[in-house]
Amino acid sequence: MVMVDNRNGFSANIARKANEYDNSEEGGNIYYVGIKIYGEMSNPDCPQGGEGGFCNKFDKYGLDSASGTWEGKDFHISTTESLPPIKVNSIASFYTQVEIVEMEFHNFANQTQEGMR
Amino acid sequence: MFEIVSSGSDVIPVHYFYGTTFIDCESEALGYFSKPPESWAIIKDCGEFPCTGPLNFMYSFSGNSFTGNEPAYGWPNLALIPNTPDVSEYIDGCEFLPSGNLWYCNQDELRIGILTFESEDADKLDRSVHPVYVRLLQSPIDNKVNSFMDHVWDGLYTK
Repeated sequence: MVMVDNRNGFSANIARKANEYDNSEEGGNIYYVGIKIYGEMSNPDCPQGGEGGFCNKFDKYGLDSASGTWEGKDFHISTTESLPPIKVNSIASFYTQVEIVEMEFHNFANQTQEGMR
Repeated sequence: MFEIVSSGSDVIPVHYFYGTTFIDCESEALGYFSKPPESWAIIKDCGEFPCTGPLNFMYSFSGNSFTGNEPAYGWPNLALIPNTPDVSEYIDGCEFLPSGNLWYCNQDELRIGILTFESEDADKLDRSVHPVYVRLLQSPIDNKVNSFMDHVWDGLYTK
């Protein structure tokens, strides 16, 4: 996968259900392999000095932390659920393992073009 | 580059990176590690002080390579750790990045790890024990740790 000019970083999340204490590969760990993440593109977020119809000043990140939860809602909810659906309503798992192999980060500057992180 | 999930109140897993390549990345581009928000310090969430998951995790790198810029964190073996009060400043080989609220650490000689412990009490999901102070004897390291946030009902977890 290739990520370019993201506002929030890429991440993966997994629900370990009954396998919270299972440390095997089948137990629900997270692996990233060969992902490339690029910083800002040359396209401005505030065209024409903010006079271009929109101006979005965001902190930008390439990678967010992954997470593992114990039980909780399914990530793809198929029944009626209380809102918000993005709230997992469960506790974190101690045993989620995250390994990231040969990731590349390209062209991340100290600040964005708009002076943000 | 790096951030941490804003809802990671309890446990953010250690991320192990192998063979990472940084190409034209600048010294202050490491990103930002957010602090546990004070809004977590309420009885139905974390109790008297915010949960401490964001203060107890790390990104651990082995076998890094750098092309183009030579950033300040340009070490083959690197760790990124949060700005944990009474802990991070006392770890050898770490430099603080104020704009990122994080520390970057040379791990060529000293490897950093995370100690994990869990209550095995039967009522660990019904009762709270906090704060727990984790101290390293004969050093100033003194880590104040909270229990998990309650994600469903009012009350706290020992876990």
